[in-house]
Amino acid sequence: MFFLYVIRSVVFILRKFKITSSTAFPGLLVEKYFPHLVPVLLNKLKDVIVITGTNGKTTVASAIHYILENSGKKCFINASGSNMLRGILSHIIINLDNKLNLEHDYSILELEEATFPKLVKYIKPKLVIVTNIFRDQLDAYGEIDKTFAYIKDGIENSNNPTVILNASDQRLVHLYKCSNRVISVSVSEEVKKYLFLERYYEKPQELDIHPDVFIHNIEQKDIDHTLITFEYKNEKYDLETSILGLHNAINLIFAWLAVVHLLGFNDTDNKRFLDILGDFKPAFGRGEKINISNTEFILMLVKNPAGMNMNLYSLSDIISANDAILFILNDNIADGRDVSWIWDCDFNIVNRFQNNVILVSGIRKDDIALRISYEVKDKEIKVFDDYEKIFDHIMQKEYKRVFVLPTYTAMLSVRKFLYSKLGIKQNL
Amino acid sequence: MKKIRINHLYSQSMNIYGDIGNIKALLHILDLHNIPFEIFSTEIGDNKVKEADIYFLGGGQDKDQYSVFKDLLRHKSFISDEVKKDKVFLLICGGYQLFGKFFLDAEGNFIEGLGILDIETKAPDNKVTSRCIGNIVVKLNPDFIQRFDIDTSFSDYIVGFENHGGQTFFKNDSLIFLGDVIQGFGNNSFEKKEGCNYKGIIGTYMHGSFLPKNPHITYGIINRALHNQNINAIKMDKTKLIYESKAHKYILNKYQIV
Repeated sequence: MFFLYVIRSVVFILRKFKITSSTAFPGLLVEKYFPHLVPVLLNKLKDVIVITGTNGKTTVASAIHYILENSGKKCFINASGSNMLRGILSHIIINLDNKLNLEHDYSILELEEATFPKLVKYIKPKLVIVTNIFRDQLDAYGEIDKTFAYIKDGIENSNNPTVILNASDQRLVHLYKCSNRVISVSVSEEVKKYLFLERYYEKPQELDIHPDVFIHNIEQKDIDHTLITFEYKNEKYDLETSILGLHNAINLIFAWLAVVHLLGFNDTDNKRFLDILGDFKPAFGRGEKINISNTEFILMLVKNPAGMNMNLYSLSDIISANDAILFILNDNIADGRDVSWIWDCDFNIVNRFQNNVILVSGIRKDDIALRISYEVKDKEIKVFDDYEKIFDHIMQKEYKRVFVLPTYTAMLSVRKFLYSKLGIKQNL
Repeated sequence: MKKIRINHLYSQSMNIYGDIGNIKALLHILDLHNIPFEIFSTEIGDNKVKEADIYFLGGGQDKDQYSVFKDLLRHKSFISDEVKKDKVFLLICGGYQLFGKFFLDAEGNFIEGLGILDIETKAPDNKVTSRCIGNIVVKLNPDFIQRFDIDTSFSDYIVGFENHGGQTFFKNDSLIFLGDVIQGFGNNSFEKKEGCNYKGIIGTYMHGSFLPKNPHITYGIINRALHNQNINAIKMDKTKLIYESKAHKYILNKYQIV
């Protein structure tokens, strides 16, 4: 305990005097020099909710956080970008009070897939949400099957947690056997068409699944209004959200279901949680809207083919002639160094868009321009070296809305750039 | 005019590294020259492999590759005959390995390949510390340039992204490398040589996708297929390859090559 006290004090002083603002540093210190404190720190987490999967983790975690906090519960949540063990440890240390307590009711942990089995060695989550498993950053993980194995391992070593998953995802159905408490979400055939664009080759196991939640319809009325109609325990519910994207609709249902599982007793509670969720604003870069003079920028993070396809599908109904779309492709480690994945995306969807101009930028702008040139006919592709030039172009053309589809590090930099235009400094 | 037929072998199992871009590149160039084409696939369990002018086989996950290994062996004699007829085969990564004699995986399992290419692939031993992952640049081998009549006015290099554990070695001098590795690993972590050419077969570890960024190879492949049908070769129009050229040159510039 003494060491922990010292570490906390050192970190406190370093941060106070801005000697380091590195979020990974305290965790690194513990992992490397005081490994015996790892279980001590992790054991401070109460009622752990784990969110894992390749796409949508941050949105689900933020939405759960939002509903719980607005229901009077105090939450510990690891910030996006700190979804590995080191980041979580740091976050715990930073939030310890003078008596080394971590005051909270629930811990919401967004976990990178490979971290999940490492964490459950120390702490057993109460609830595990598996959003999906799509092809994602193969240069880091090697294979989709490996990602699946990490998640399976995590659940199997978690002391029979409740698992929330999407039963319409054939690959996830294989997780049914890992826990005897599975809550599943299923979607109508119509919705399915837009959500599961990756083909599966293994036959799904023949399981008699009765989904707990059935999503009938997701209707995107316009950029600020999406209506989700679904059924839970023979009761019909509607969720109206300002969050764009068909995939995000499913993410919100996951979040709602998690809270209902933890706190819901009756239909009145459940409806109240939906009302709260209706006001939830998107996590940064995931449908986030930024207004600059007369143009609205909508940031839609993309990191793999499934994410790209879903975002493009979501846009196809709402993009208009005076809008623009901007793709930013980077190949830093956090983006995935291999850009081959863009060839698995369905850019043909862009041909249906009403707008005429496609803007392209990022470290691998030439790759994305080439990819789009193969698929998209009759639209002008404009390639830009830097954000200032894109911005000048946008301001000059007075696009009504610019839908920005950046990879991870591109999202961080373009977001920072756009906020700087508003005179707001963003350190994220 | 006769159609150019393309058979995408195991398109459903061997498709996770964006290799579909190679098919798109072939179709793009065929389209550009108004050459009629037909595209179809052969999947696990199909009775026979449909005859084509160009065969393509990409990479897959280990588990999928094992299923494909077994299935492909059923078609060994047909494929061998097609190779003898100088048909064109583009094989990427796992597909390349499958045409060799065997693959020895990390668990020590011996997986028999078609044995059409006299190569052997082994999972890395303790001399190799990690997977071969990263951008790769290769200077084309003059013998390969000549055999496939590659138009090097586009570039003397090929570029891509490799991601493989397997270490591939030639067992026969009649095979030739596609070229010397300037950046990256190539066939294995020791020799600085990449890929393999034997008759109409091109085997490579390059994803990226490979052909879109290397249209001079796309032309070489198509011209070889046209030649087999006694049709005149098509000539590259570089003014129509602006995006291709920029994407290709980006990698060369990144490593200060040319």
